[in-house]
This record gives sequence, structure tokens and C-alpha cells, in this order.
Amino acid sequence: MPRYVLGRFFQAFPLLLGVVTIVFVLIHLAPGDPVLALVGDFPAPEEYVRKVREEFGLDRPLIEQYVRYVGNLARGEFGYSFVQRRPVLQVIGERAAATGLLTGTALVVATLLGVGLGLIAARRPSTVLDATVSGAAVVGFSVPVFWVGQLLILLFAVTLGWLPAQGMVSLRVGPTGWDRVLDVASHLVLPATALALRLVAMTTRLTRASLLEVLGQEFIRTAEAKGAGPRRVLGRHALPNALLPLVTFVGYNLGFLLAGSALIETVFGWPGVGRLLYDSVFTRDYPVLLGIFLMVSLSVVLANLLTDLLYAYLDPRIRHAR
Amino acid sequence: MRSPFRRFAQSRPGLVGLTIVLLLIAGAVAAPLLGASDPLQTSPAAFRPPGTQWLLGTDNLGRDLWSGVVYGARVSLVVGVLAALLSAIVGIAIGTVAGFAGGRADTWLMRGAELFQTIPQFFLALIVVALIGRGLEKIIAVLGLLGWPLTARLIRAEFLSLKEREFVEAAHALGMSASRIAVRVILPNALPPAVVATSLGVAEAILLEAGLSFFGLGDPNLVSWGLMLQNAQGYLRRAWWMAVFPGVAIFLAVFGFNLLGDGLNDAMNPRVRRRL
Amino acid sequence: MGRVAAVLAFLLTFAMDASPGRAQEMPRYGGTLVVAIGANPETLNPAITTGVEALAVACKMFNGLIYLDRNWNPEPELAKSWVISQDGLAYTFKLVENARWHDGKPFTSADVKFTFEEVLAKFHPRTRLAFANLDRVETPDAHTVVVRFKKPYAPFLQQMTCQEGAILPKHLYEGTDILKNPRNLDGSIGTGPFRWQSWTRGDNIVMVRNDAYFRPGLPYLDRVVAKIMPDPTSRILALEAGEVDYIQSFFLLKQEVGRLRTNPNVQVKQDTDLPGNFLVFFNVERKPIADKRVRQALAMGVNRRQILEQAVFGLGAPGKSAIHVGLKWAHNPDVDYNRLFPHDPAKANAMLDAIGLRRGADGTRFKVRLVYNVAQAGFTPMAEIIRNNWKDIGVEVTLEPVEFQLTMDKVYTKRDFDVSIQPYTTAGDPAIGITRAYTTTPAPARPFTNPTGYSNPKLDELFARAVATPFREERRKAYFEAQRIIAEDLPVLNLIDRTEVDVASAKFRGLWISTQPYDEWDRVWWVGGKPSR
Repeated sequence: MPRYVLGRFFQAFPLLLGVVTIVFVLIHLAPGDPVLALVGDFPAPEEYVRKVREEFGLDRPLIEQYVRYVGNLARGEFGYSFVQRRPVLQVIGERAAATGLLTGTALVVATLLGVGLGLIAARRPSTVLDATVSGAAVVGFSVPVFWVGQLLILLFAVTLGWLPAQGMVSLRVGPTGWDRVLDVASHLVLPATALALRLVAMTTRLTRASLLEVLGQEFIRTAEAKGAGPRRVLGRHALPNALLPLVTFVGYNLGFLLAGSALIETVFGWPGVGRLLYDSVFTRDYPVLLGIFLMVSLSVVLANLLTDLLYAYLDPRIRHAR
Repeated sequence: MRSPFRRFAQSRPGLVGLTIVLLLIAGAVAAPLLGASDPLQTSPAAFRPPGTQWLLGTDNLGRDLWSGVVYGARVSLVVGVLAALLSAIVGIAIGTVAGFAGGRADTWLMRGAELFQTIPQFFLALIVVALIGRGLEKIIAVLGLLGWPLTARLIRAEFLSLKEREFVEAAHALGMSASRIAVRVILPNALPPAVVATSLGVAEAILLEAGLSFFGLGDPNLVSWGLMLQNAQGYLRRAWWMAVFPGVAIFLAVFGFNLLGDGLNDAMNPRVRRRL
Repeated sequence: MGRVAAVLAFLLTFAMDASPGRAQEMPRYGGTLVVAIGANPETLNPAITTGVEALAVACKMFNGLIYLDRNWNPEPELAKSWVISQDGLAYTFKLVENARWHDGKPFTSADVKFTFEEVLAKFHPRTRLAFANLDRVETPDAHTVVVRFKKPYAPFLQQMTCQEGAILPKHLYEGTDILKNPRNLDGSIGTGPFRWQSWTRGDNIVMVRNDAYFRPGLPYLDRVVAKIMPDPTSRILALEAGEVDYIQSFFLLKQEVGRLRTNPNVQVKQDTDLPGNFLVFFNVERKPIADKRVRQALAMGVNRRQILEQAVFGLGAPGKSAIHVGLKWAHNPDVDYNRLFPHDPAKANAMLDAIGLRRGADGTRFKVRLVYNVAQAGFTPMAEIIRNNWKDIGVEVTLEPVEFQLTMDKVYTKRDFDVSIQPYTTAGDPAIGITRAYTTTPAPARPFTNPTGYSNPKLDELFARAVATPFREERRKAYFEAQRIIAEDLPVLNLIDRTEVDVASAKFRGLWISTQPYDEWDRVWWVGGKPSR
């Protein structure tokens, strides 16, 4: 196991470097002179323009810029936002918690629901129940996530008025206390539901498929022959083995969730990184755009790494290997 | 063993999916016949609800939604199919080289695949389009060039497993060159998973294009469902129909291709079903 | 007994003051007003920026020498009076004598001299131009400033508001790097009615009443809070819920204005800033729009009424001439684009046929590329309507919505466009905001100047004459002639004369005393306040 862990760690670094290189190449594909954006409505004094150019290092040779860039990233220096005049990391950092809340909630809900539904479907394959659940899963998998968001707003906020349509908090409620928690929760329901939908569908399909495959294997028949009832077979033998690929699946889907979160946050005005992405696309705030891209890729690589390690721990075959 | 075609014909999801897809293609092609006029035609009749004069209503500039949905099908289908085909071609090529050649080429190609699979497709596509500009060809190229890893892996896996099989050895014994064996013997057997992946890839590409358009990165000179949904976002309270109908259209298209993919999967990879 | 009567009389006065009728007239003291802004200001130093967020906050803490009343006439602020010399080369300001900086130090002419020479002339994006011909600034005494120019610059006085000429404290900025001075972000020290208290990044900026404000008794409010709300819809919801009290035009989703007008808790005010235009620029170096007849036909092809209703939500009027109708003294009523270029596709088609630009087999005469800033509110519908309008006259439009930087690059630097839509503010005087779109400007041009390549020496001469004299009559003559020439050549089509719209809670009075939304917040009061301090 230790060798495996070390090996995985080392594998992660070239991935990270690959991501960074892609980002750097993309930076220099950007057309237009970025300086103009900072100067605003009217012509500015030359000294001011030059100051800005220097500040952002736009007048040096490419190779030097690359080395500087990688070095900066390693030091945690992700660049400066043109639009907000603040370090990119700060701009992203203050919104990370909101996205985390939304994504985390969706992940938990989706996993629980998905496994549950997949279980139900796998218990009675080829029945009407199975067909319904599987069919619903395909439907859920096929709807665009942001459209679901819009539909939920139309139904629950605009028509029924039960839940808020926008944002994470209402201003009236104070920053702490039980009121605040409830307030955030009420704002969380619709976006988290929309975000979770596709993941539920995928999890259901995968759980069902995985369970069915496991159930068809030798050791299950052995357990049955030994007299284990259906419940026991499912719970103690089939499920743990079927869930193993699920662990990796959930871990690997961070990137997918983050993409959905970008769309959902835009629909709901949720003050997270996804919404920041949309605004930055609109204003072409490239430092923030690329910063978000880097952070997302970084998180995914990390999540993959952790998932692999977790899988290795859980799978006895790897855990006990040298 | 029943032939794949018969198995497909018995797969209900597959048939439903195929029907939907064929209807969509027919609708897209025959747009004018369906009473759809210029979807970009503005008029003073803004925010009209669905009714007899405007089947699906009008938007904020008085444009007919029905026309938009019907013509939007063309864009979505073209993008989806072309992008998925591009992914397939690139994926098959890379997967073949990796699976057959093996060694360092294989390692490096799979490293590349891992890189492209790790970086979330939506973000990478978004960044690239934000930088190089909007436009239909660009979106197709970006989506096509991002989706190859899955197909490549599938093809490679098939190659690796089929390489050692008897009929390959037989072909080798008959004096066939390596590349001929790869293309004419192994590839046809390795294709089925790739076909499934491509159909699912069309669905995925349509969703990605819708997402990119919703984010404001679609082609501004064409009607696209995602763009219509982006427009609708500002008027949710006033005109629910602007958001509902384009979304239904996207759903139908994606649903159709997903079902089709499932049906193809059933046809090509029969699974043992087990009752508990 | 007398004592009791006095107390009773006093109480009665209170009671009478509390009656609704009187309460409407007499300002009340106290209260907090919450202003919604869209993003963190990039600085709180108003002398180095034209950013709306920055000015919306900073101009409550700083002052200019004057402010503009609702007729755009200068009124005293830090300058209590002024005299302009006959030749327009010298401006003598008498400053108020009791103004103090928030840290207690007295405000003097030295601060004005320093701000003009070291800050505005060097760093303010717009006012820098005003100081281009500055000769020197004299300070004969602590409360007198004489500004001398080498050449007359007519709109100078108008630019001495907080937005374009805010005064900074010399004792805190002298010898420092003006742009990086930490006071730009935290702990601003100004002379204004409110003092900086705190800035919670990403959330709010709190300003409290300046007890030592130079206007006695003012401000009425106790606090002003600027709430940072990136989502435009949330701002409006917050206003309707009573959590936010004021949204400036720049931060307001115009499509909601209609709805807000029917809300009794909200007051909607138009003409709340120096107006601007939406302009269509033609690249006159490209065929076939190099031919002015083609441009005139294109102008007739545009349905400006439709644009006004569907893209601008009725907030303004179709442009009548090169100069906004709001600039009453300079606008030439004989030049009327509605008369000269009415929406008449039939006539436009005929004109284009007559020139020889016939339709091809697909109905297209020629193609144009329309470049515009995708992030500018209302531009996408505008561009789409124009595309549709011109299709009716056989011109195929390819839309190129690009972001701000790229727009500037394509349109101004590279002149890589056929047609472009741009928003231009008039800044209250043709010399500041309008002439820049028409004067000869060789490529590569600075943003928001003249990207068309149109060059007319006669026009340049008229504009030069108009800026070199402070006397309205002469300026008016020059501008009238200029508008006639422009209407003939039409390098730029004035699509819409815009009007700005602010919304505020009905519980506040005294808003919009100045024509600029940044100024005169010292006289805003809350109906729920106390009759006296």
C-alpha cells in the first residue's frame, strides 16, 4: 500500500504541471490589449498606462513570463483581477465557501438518493419498478441542469411563492443564529435540488449496474447456497463490493458537479465561484477566469488522488499488496 | 447468438430513442414546412403568451418562439453530431495507436487522456471559447477535440484484449501486416463500444453547447436553444414560456440520444440479468 | 406656572411638528440610508477614477469646488463664489472658510492647488484633458485660488464637481505615491458630509455623519451604508423589501422600471445624471459605407422607435442631432434626424437601388460586421433589432459581440469594424463628451474618441472655436453649424438620447438636488427622523 500511495502522489504532479501549462498557453492566446480595460472611459496619461503595464508584467519575453507564472502559482500568487483590482485568490477565496455549501449539499443528497434508488431498482430487475426508476434516471440524466433551475424557480418561487428565487440570504436576517441557518437553508433548497438531479440519475444508474454485475458473480451464489437470505446477500456481500466503484465515481465527479454549480449559481444568483465565473466571462476578466480554472482543475486532481487512495484502502486486494 | 440488429429492435429504450432522434432530424430539416419563419425576425409583438397566433409565444423582441425552437434544432443537432463524430475519429485514431503500438507511445497518450479527462470539459471549453472567440465552427472544434479520451480508452482496451486472440494470430500467420491487422481485423471488433460512446457523446455535446450558449458563448448569429434560455433568464417573471419550451427541446434531443445509446449498448453488449 | 406653560408650549410645538402636513416640508434628522452598488469600488479616491461604484461611495466623503443644479448650472460647494476673466484664461475662486478635513485640519487653497496640479492633471482620466493647457495655479491667500490657462477651455468650471474635480487633502497625499496611497482604500479623509467608518470587503461600506461639516446643520442623515450586491435582480428585490433605499441608474435593470413605477413605496426619478447617447459609428474608410448616401439610407433603415421601446425600455428618445436635446443651449432644433432620416425602409431601398447597390440572388446588397460590447446592458437587443431592420433593406449584418477590451481594440485601435454601437456620455458639455466622436483622430485612436476615420477640417475648426471661448452665444453658433454638417455627412448616427433613471425608497426626501447622482447627499433626509437634533 505505501508504494501505491507514493506512486499516486508522484503521478499527480505531472498532471498539475500539465494543467498549468495549458493555462499559460491559453493566457497568451487572449486577443486585445488588456491595458485598455483598466484605463476606462477617457484617455489616460501615458505614465498611468505604463504603470499598469508594468504592474501586470505585460512587456516581458514569453519564456520569462512562463517561469514567473509557474513560480508565482507555487507561491500562491494567482494574479490580479483587472476588474476588481484585487488579487485573484482573494476574489475567488471569499466565494469558495458558498460554492462548497451548495456543492457539498448536492453531493450528499445525490449520493444518498442515488444509492437508494439504484438499490431499489437492482433488487427487482426487469420489473415495472426497475423500468420506472431506470427510465426516470435517464430522464434526469438528460435534462440540462440550468433549465431545471429555471423551472424550479418558475414553479416554487414565482408561481407558488414558497421559496426564494435568488441569492443565499435575505438582508433582513442577522448574520448569526438559528434564523440565519434557516434562512440559508431555505435559499439552498432549490439550487441544491437542481444541481443534484443529474448526479442522482447517474448514481442511480451506476449503483444499479454495479449491483447487478456483482450479484451475478460466483461468491454471491456461494453465499446463497450456504443459506443466506436475500437481505443478507444484498447487505453484506453484494453492496460493499458494488459500492466500491461508486466511491471512485463520486470522487471523480467533482469536476462535473463544479460545472453544474457554475450554471446553477448563475440561474439562482448564488454568490459562489460559479457566479463569479459567469460575471468574469461577461467582462472577460481573464485573470479570474484562469484562476478559477486552475483552482477547479487543482481540486479535481486532488479529489481524484484522495479517491484513489480511499479506494486503495477499501479494496483489500490493493490494501494488502506490497 | 441473436444478431445485434435483432437485439436492438427488442430494446424498448433504443427504439424510443431512435424514433425521437429521427423525428428531430426530420423536424430540423423540414423547418419551413412546419410553419416556422425567420427566428431572428423581431416585431413589435413582444412578450405574447403561447396561443393561436404564436404557438409558443414571443420573446422580448417579439421573435416567434416556435420558429426559434425549430431552427434551433438545426444548430444543436449539427453541433452535437459533428462534435461527437470528431471526438470519435480522434479517439479511434489515438486508441488504435495506443492499444496496438503499446510501449512509450501508449503511456504518453494515456497520460494525455488522463489530463483531458481530469480537467472538466465545461470549464476547458468555456475558457477556450472565451479566448478564441465565438462561432459555430469553433465550438464544434473545441467540443470535438475535448471528447476523445473516453473513446480512445474504449478502443485501446478492446485492442489490448483482442490483440492476443486466436483470429489475430491466425491473420498474422497468414502474413498480414500489423497495420492491416489493426485496421481490418481488430478495429471492426473494437468498434461497438465506440459506437455507443459516440451516441452518448452526441447527447453530451448538445448539453455542453447549451451550457456554453447559456453562458453567453454561443454563436450570436444563429438561433440556439441555450441562447434562448440565457435570454429567458432576465424575464422569468414576465414570460415563463421563454424558458420552458427551449428547455423541453434540449431535453428531448438529449433524451433521444441517450436512449439510443442505451439501446445500442443493449444490442452490442448483452448482459446477464439476475433476479434476486 | 410660567415654567409649565413654557414646557407645554414646547411640547405643543413638537406635536404640531409631528403632524403629517408639516412633516413633509421640514427636513428631519437622523436615520440610515442604504445604497446598493454592484461591486467593490476599486478605490475610494474620487480624484483618480471615473468608476461608478467608486464615485457613488467616495463623493459622500469628498467635495468638489461646485456642484451642478438641475439645470446644469454651477452652484457653490467648496468654492463660495468665483469670477471668470473676460478672456476666459483665469478663474478666481473664493473658498469657504470653515471647512475642515475629517481629521480636523483646516481646508485651504493649498489643498486645491495640490489636487489640481499633482492629482487631477496627472491621473484623472477625464479631467486631465481639462488641465492640458494649465499654466499655473496661484494661491494669494488661504481661501483664494486663481487658475490660469494658456488657452481658454470653456467647460472647465462645469468639471469642478466631485465627479471630475474632487479635492484631496494635501497633508496626507503630498510626497506619497498618489495611486498607491493606503488612504485610497481605507480611512478616507475628505471634507464631505459623511466620514469613512468601515469597509467590509465584498459586503458593505459604512459612512457616518460628519459633525464638523462646513454647512451648518447638515447632513440630516446619521449614516450611509453602501451595500455591495453583484446581482442586479437582488438589488431590486431588496429595494422592494425595504432593505435597500436607493439604486442609481447604473445599477438598475431598466426593464423593471415599469413595474417599480406602480409601487407606492418607491419613487422613480428620471434625468438623474448628465445624459448620454447610444451612437452608431460607421467606418467611413470601408466600402460601400464610405458613401454618405449609403449611410443615410442605413439610418433610414433603422427603426429607432422599436429600439427605444424594446431595448431601452422607453428611457429616452430617438436622437435628434449630434448633440443631446438635454444640452438645451447647444442643441440645434432645426436639425432633426426624425425628420431627416425617418424609419422608411421603402425609401432606403429606393436610395440604395438608385446608387447602384442592387440586391443579389439571395436578396443581399452587401454585408456589414457590427461590433459591440456584449456586456453593455441593452446592446444585444439593440444589435439584434438593427440586424433585423437592415435585413429588410437588403443589408446582411454579422454580429460580433465581444467583451470590452476587445471592443476597444477592434474598434479604436485596429479600426477592424464596419459598424459599431457605443455608449457615450455627454458629460454635460459638448466639448467634454460629444466632440470627441467627430474630431479628426488618426489611428490608432484612444478608446471613446472617433474611430470612424471621418475627418472634416471645417468641423474641427468649429469645435476648436467652441471650446476656446467661455461665452455661450459664440459656442452655440459654432455647435449649430457643426450639427448641420454632421447631419449631412452622418459619420455617426445618434441612435438614442438616453435618460438616466434612479429609484429610491419613498421614505427619503431631498434626493436629486444636483443633476449628478453623486452630489448633495448632505441634504437628503428621512421622513422617520426627529424634528431636531
